[in-house]
Amino acid sequence: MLQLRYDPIKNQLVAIATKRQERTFHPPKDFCPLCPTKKGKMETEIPESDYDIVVFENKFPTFDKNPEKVDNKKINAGCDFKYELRQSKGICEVVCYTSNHDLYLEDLPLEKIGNLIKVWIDRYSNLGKKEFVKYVLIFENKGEEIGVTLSHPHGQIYAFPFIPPVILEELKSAKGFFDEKKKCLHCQIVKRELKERSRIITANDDFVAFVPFYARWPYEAHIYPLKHLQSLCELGGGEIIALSRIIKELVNRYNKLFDFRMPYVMVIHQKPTDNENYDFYHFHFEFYPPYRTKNKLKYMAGVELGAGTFLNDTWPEEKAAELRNLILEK
Amino acid sequence: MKKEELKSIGNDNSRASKRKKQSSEGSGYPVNQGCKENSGLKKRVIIKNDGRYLIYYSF
Repeated sequence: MLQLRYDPIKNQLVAIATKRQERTFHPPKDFCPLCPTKKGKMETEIPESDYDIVVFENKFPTFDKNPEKVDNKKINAGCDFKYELRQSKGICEVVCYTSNHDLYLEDLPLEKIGNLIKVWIDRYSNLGKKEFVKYVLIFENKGEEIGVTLSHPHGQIYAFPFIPPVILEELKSAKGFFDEKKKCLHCQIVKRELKERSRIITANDDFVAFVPFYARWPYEAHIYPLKHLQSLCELGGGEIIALSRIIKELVNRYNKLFDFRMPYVMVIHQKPTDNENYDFYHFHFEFYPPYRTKNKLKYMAGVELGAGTFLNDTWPEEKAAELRNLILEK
Repeated sequence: MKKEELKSIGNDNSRASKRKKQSSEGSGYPVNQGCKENSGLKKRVIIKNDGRYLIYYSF
């Protein structure tokens, strides 16, 4: 059963997706559903024996392109105060980065990361054209600490029937700033970071990675294009390689930091796909690694969950310097 | 944020949705406006037994 329930107190939608309780949970490597199907073995999600990159509809989705109808009259019969249900109409996809079970995103050659970016562009563009899709969120959850249940290298895409609240807040801030100053808020932040340099992790000709001044997680990092662009779609071939390079370098710096594969949540914030004008917006990547030291995790707890204010026990400038000063093998 | 604001985005019958329909007829800001690398991808779509699609991208 999938449905969206409206929370009138927080003015937010909550996605109820009970089928997700049944999803595959840490299967042994030989039964990985994201590996290609091996001869004589049980068919996986991917029927062929090899692949470059595969995208498929999630078997345990949060949204459905043909959702069940909702009946607000029925649930509110006899009640003075009305609750509100909405159809959970959307699409959830899984993106398998490579057929090799043991590789991670950062292990792939630049060219293959570039191919993945081209697939992201294709999915953003194609899903975004659908009438009911208002926002396309591309993301990766990595590591058991984040709650990942399949270790095969993969990411996900949610084609939302609404603009999710974190993005709405970003859009409101960027629009307000643009209306007042006639400048892009994100461009101003990038300009200041490049000038101050204390929070920069790395940069190349087209992109910069930094720990934000207002970092919520100790090793949170954002990657921005230096050009004012609203989505990945606008990248040229050279910029795609530059983006591949900075993603690979950032994740390798994370891995080098504590000498283990750093778990993280990676999200791509792009303009919504409702065909409104978002010229004031600036696409970027956000990474949230959960570790605050080599053996301590930061948890979302009372103040974060109950009040919406993040507590960061560290100085962003110090964490950026730690990541920046690591020496990576060529 | 007012409820109305969320509703105007979340409802398929909303103004936003109508604008999306209009944009395919030439107005609005289509998602692929300014796309540079959106063509020439080799992909093959299959439909699985349970009706889900799967896309093979080849490079």
